[in-house]
Amino acid sequence: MIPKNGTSNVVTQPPKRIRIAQIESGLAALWAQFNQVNSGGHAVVMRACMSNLIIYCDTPQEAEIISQEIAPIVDIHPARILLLVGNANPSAGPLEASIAIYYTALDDGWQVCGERIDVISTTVGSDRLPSVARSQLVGDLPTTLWWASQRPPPTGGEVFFQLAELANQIIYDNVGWLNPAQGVAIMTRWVAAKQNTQIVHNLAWRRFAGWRKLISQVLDPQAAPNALEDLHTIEIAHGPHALPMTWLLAGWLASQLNWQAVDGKRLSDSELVWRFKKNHQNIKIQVKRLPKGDPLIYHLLFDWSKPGHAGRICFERLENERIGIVAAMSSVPPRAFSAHVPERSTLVSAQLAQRNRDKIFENALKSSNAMTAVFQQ
Amino acid sequence: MPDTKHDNPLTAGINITQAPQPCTLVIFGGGGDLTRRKLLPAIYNQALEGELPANFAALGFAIEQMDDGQYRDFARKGIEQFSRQPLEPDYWSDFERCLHYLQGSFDNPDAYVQLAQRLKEIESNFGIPGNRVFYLAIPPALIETCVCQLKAAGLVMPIDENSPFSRIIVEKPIGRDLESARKVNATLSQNFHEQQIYRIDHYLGKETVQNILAMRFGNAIFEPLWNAKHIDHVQITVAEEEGVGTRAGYYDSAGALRDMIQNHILQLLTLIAMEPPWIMDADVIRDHRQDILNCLRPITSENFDQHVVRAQYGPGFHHGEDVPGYRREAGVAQDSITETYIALKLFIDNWRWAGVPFYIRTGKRMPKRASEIAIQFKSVPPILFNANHDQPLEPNVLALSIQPNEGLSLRIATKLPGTKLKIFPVKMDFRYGSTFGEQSPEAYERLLLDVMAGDATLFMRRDSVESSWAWVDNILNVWASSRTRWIPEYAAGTWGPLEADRLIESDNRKWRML
Repeated sequence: MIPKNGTSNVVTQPPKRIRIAQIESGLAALWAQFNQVNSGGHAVVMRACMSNLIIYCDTPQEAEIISQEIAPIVDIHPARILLLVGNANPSAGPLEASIAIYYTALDDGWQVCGERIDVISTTVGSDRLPSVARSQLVGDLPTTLWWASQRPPPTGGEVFFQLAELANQIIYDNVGWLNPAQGVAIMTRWVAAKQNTQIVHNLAWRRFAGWRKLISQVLDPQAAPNALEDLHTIEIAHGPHALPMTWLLAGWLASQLNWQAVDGKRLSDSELVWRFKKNHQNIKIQVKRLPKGDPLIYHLLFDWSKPGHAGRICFERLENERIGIVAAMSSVPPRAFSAHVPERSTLVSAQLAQRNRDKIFENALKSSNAMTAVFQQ
Repeated sequence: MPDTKHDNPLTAGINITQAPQPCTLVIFGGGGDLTRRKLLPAIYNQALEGELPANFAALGFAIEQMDDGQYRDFARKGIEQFSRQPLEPDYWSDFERCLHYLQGSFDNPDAYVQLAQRLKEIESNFGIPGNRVFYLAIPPALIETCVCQLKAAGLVMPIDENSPFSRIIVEKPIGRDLESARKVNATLSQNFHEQQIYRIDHYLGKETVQNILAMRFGNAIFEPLWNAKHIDHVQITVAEEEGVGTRAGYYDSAGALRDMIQNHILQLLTLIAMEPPWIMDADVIRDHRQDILNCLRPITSENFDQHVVRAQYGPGFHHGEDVPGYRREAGVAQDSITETYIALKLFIDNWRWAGVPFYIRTGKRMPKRASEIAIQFKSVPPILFNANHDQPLEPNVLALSIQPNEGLSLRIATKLPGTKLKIFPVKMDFRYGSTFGEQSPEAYERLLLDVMAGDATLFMRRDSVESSWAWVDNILNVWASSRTRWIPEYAAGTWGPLEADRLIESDNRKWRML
């Protein structure tokens, strides 16, 4: 029986060890074997493939988690997956490979929606990984590098730079970065150096897309006249490891609303503050890390009150993946919204279909970097 | 283009071409079948996926006696039964707060005063700046009453970028012939500006229909072949499995020509045949679609029999079960000659399509539910692989499947493996559902969001409705002048009458087997 993966419609088999030189023929053999076993060779097995996806992890533990995410990714976005692990323990030699195929059932046969090639290497042997990737990509298709390491991509050195050369798009995730300020600075420099040649995407950006949409709507001039001009205080509370995402959120607001970062400082181990200026308006963003929780934004308050005019809206993350407007702290009617936080695999599969650079993200990144520059460590 | 503008830099780059704006959706006929099956599930799915504007509310307005609580129960049942996504109990209590109901008679001016009052309350509670979308999910006979009452009650705002918007969605059928369509349109125009009117045809909201433009103009390989030089003919099929069901009252006075051809199928035809637009702008695209309607060759009494076949289903089998003929259906006159099937051959008299026949068929009680547009290319010359006159090669066919399996397929000739030179047709299939593994939104979801965003691209303009009626009227007039009470019959569960086969076979072509 072929296991079905989670809620996706995809079935697969356990990865099969193979010599690197035989990966392509091994995949073809798996395809033919599947056809024989499941239909006696009578049904049609087709392949759908939209992209190459190179995934780089530092450790086997990271790769194990990623393994569970491949089925839902290829269910949405059929692809050839190259899962590369940099600091592993191959049983012999510096590199070791295995392959697997993912299928979805059609009415009258099967469709290969994913071909997975795992290559693990020793730390020393990791510089060979790009050469394997180079030979295993499907031609004529876009290639995405998902840098799943917890280090900012450029700190990965030669492995990153060579893999990035193969890709049209680079996906990374700044949630969990140990030093967000340093990471933002490194990424900003690297993105600027790419000069429009590649798409660079931070999963955190897509993760708080729901927030961006909600904020843009509730502060819309039609719904809240003058809120965008008169905004003077923002309070954000986030869960552990979500500071980089919060940094980016603040960067987005600053870039879109033309705020200049004036200064920023740490108030305590769990609190920091930035000040911005626009014309004669001062804007303060106060950020607080909650002692526990998921890496999410839990509380967000916008204040554009003036003497004699109440203007506040306060959001809280509620149970069951909802965001609510807190009645007591808001001058707008309370409501609750569906705020499902997509799985990482959903974010990746959605981003794979993206073919354009996101200038709004890049501007947000630049503003985040400007915030880094004025921040007193 | 949207009919209101405002500056909000935070909406830049958000993954929606045009953001749906905060508004109240007022559903006339809020207690009806369309509302229960389509509209309420559509807004529920949009809310669940975070697509609705943050400041949004819906108000059902109808004659049925209900309060808000009962209406929410009504909505819940509809969503449980018909929603694309299952009802999530945790979210339901948040969502249901945006649903409201007002009981009232559509012809009672006092009801509209109450409507205005109720809207103000809702807008105040939900932070909605007075934007309103009126959805007329009502029988056509009531359109005039509702539209005039809305205007009289001061509920229609003028187009002004500084004032809230009022938009109206009108369901088909718009009239039952050219004259009545003009009358409906005139009524709409007296009360709303054309920019505020959204004539909905849900076929245009389907993923594959939208993909027609992407396929034609997003790929370099198709457009050079998309003309009379390379295309032999086009077939459009819209087959329904079901009989007349509960719609006998309407259907028996309408028939397949009015019900399907005048709107859905002619709109599909325009998308297949239109010239490339230079910009994705609602009016530019609609202008190009309109050009096709202008070029449709009229069907007259002189050439009628070579171009039109109508028929009615008789008794037969549906999934192995006995089913009655049309005249034995509840609510149908026993001597009805209303067509439940129609086949047409039509021509588009422009440079691109000169001489290319478009064969169209639609009917009820067909063997299966299937909607498809098939482009059949010309055969390769009768030499080389196609030299055997007894066994000509199958021509290439590009088929766009609209339902139930949205996707496209291309039939190509290929050599069979072996030492002998044997050519065999192979179908390359692409299906949205199986390739992408995620659900496409329902047509109504997409179209409702378009109205909230002020994008009329996928809606019918007045001239388009009237042109298609003008063309259809030619056929209706010939039928009306005929004294016959006879109509060909086809057995339920078959692909239509022999007469329809003859219509296409007389041109040495065949209907596709779906």
